[in-house]
Amino acid sequence: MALDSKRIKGPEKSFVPLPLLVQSTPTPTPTSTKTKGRIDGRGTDEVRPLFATTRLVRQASGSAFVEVGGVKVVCAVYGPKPVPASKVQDHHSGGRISCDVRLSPFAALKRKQFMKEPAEHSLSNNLHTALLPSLLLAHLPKSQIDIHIQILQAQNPTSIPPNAFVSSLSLLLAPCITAASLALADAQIEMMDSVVGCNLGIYRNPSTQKLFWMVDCTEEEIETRSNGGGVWVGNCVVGVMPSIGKVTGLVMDGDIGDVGFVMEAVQVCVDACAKIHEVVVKKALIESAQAKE
Amino acid sequence: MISVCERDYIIGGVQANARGDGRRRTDARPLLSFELGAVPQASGSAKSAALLVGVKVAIAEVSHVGAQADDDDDVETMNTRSKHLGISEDSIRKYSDFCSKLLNSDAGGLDLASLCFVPNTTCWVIHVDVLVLAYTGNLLDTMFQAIRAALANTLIPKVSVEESGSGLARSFEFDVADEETEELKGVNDIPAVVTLYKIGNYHVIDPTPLEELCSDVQLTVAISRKGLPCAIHKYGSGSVDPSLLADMIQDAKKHGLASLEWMDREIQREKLRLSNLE
Amino acid sequence: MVNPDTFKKLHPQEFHRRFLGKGVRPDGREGLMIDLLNLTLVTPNRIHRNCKRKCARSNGWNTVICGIKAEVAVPDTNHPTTGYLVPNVDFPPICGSQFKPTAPGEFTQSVSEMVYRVVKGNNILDLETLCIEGGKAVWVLYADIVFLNYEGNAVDAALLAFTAALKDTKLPVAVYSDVEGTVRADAADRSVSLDVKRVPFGATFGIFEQDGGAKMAMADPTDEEEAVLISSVTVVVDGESQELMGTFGAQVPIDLMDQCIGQAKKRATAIKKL
Repeated sequence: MALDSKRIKGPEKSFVPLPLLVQSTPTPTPTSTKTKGRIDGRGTDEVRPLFATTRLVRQASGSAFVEVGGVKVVCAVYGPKPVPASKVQDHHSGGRISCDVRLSPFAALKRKQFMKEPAEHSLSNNLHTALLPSLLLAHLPKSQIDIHIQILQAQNPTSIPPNAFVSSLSLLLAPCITAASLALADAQIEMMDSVVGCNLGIYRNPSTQKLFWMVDCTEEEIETRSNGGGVWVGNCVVGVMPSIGKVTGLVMDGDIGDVGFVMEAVQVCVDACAKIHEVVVKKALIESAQAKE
Repeated sequence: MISVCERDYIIGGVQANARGDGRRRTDARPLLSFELGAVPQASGSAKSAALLVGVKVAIAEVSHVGAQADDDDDVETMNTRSKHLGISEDSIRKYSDFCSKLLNSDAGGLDLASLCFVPNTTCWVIHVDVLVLAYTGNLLDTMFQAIRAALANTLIPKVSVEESGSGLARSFEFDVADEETEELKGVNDIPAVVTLYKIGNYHVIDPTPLEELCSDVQLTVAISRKGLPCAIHKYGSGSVDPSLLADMIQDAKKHGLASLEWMDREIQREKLRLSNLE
Repeated sequence: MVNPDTFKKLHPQEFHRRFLGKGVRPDGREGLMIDLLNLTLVTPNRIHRNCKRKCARSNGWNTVICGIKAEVAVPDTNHPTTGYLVPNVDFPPICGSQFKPTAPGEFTQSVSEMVYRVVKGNNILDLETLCIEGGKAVWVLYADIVFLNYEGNAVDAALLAFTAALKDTKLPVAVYSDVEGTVRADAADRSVSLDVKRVPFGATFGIFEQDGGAKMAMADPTDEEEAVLISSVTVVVDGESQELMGTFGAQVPIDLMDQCIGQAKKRATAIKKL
């Protein structure tokens, strides 16, 4: 590991303590019809409650905080600000946006070093793609908007199975999209529509080999790799502009079935996004606008 | 850079199902053939007229979380270099990201668990480096084909592991063979990657660099040997109506299977050539 | 007539000088007095878990989160029973447009170093209590102090967040097993509070030069004020015993220093009540 001389260093290696050996036998959650088969008792198309607010970072042009389950994300937007003439590459095109997603050192179970991890780059890239279609960058020539996201918490500590660590970073993409779009709106940047993100887990029924989906999976549902009698085989994150019903971002990985199933999954996400938009995002947007007056 | 008239011409052409080089929307150009083993120092390599891919394998310690049990430990690092070819850093990062994510996932085909020879501590790391020699559009698809070919050509030294002690005081010693090598497991199951470029209201495959500039949405689909998509990523600055996606994925499937079939023949032919040389 | 905002941008030095000449500051506060009203200490239930403890703190509009993560490591061979306490301050680009998403700059490093010196030099926590098994395993406490919104006076804010988080930290009971060579702990059962010996409170005063070279101090400078200061001094006071734990910063006339220390003590008492 490359050492960072600009930080205060601790010991060379350190570990998260292992869980106690004597463990109470995990009580397998009875999959009764009442709980609809999910660990937390939600229906397959039910999203978790989401909390969104704006105006958290006063220094920024716009900012937002989104919390869903154990995931907490702060986003701040700086700009639009002029790009120095030496850096303008293309005089005909509009503005640029830069996305930067960071995990706080204490965001996950294991402390993260200050060095950027590949997962953070990948999150930034996907966020960039999902936000671009909503912005009218042609109206902002030679300028740049910086979107910074700090992930305060990446998982819910009470629910992680003992031997799991964050392999499900893609779960963070959906709240990042929602937060970034809210912050852009808070910064009063012209947009076609706000973008809302939603994830979906794909599971296979081990006996019938049939695929089925569950909206808004928790890290627990992905880490344990089983849910509602199914085995986790893939996931899907969709960014949607709910008012126009267009997909701005789409990331699907794993065993995601045939075309029909893919389309069904995407449509479910689009509907879930519309719900989130209607209930939460709109409220936050109105609050942000009222605070400005 | 593309002028407005040129853009209109291409968009109009795509709408009329007639492209600049006489192809239709879902026609691909003839695929480039590969030369395997072109770089003797590498563990595996493939070279085509436009790309050079080198694979190096190395032994690495796995960083483990509190010595917990992880069964699949392996990293695949991708590195793409291209200079002065008009490809932006951004897209190169996206391509590298996509390839490493796909190859490291369950759907990537490679049997990654077999690369780990001392459980939880030591494994092979496969480094893939891609050098773009000429840019003819549709880079990600051709790049992934070349990576696939290079991995098919890759040989890793055999490792013999000796286990001593038992229970918790278990220790391992391993020895890397000088001569004996083995092929990577699961190369055959690596999916094919097809990118669809939406131009105007239609989509095309295998675009030229000029056509790429007219497209606002790119949908990259990985197609497994069973003809099922195993990764779908959207790129580009535009948005897409969900109803259009079905068509795009359907076309990707058709083209992906064709590409897989062609790759099989190509790798077979090259392997035969190499064994004849010996 | 020049618009005050324009004037502030063009001649920041003069802008502040005129205010201070009259004994007031641009945001309405008085010179040396510390305004305690806009200081809130939050231990939000919403922003924590996962790590052992987090604490958000805002002083005016500064928003700081300190997360303390406890991990296990092999102790230094020279000090086989001493644990580690590793404080790091980070200014991610989110907290202000002057911070770039690159390696930490001089400012970040100096704030980090300052906090580290306070922590290390004052025996805030008996590191021996972090020992799990002598020579084999000790706790490492990583205290990561992350600014979400930065508006001046970093050291005070960072120290306050750090102290609050530390006082809040509870460790699980750890068991070292000789056979396995591992440490096991029940993550859900956190019962051991840290034995925090001293509670450092920082009070930073900006030193501003008046016309004619007279120096005066401003408590808790904002980022705008920081830009026009000639130097600043930080007084660290123990909240329990009112002991002076150290001062950092430039040379200051003795009488001014005395005033600063007096104010710092008052402040420490006031904060302790929160």
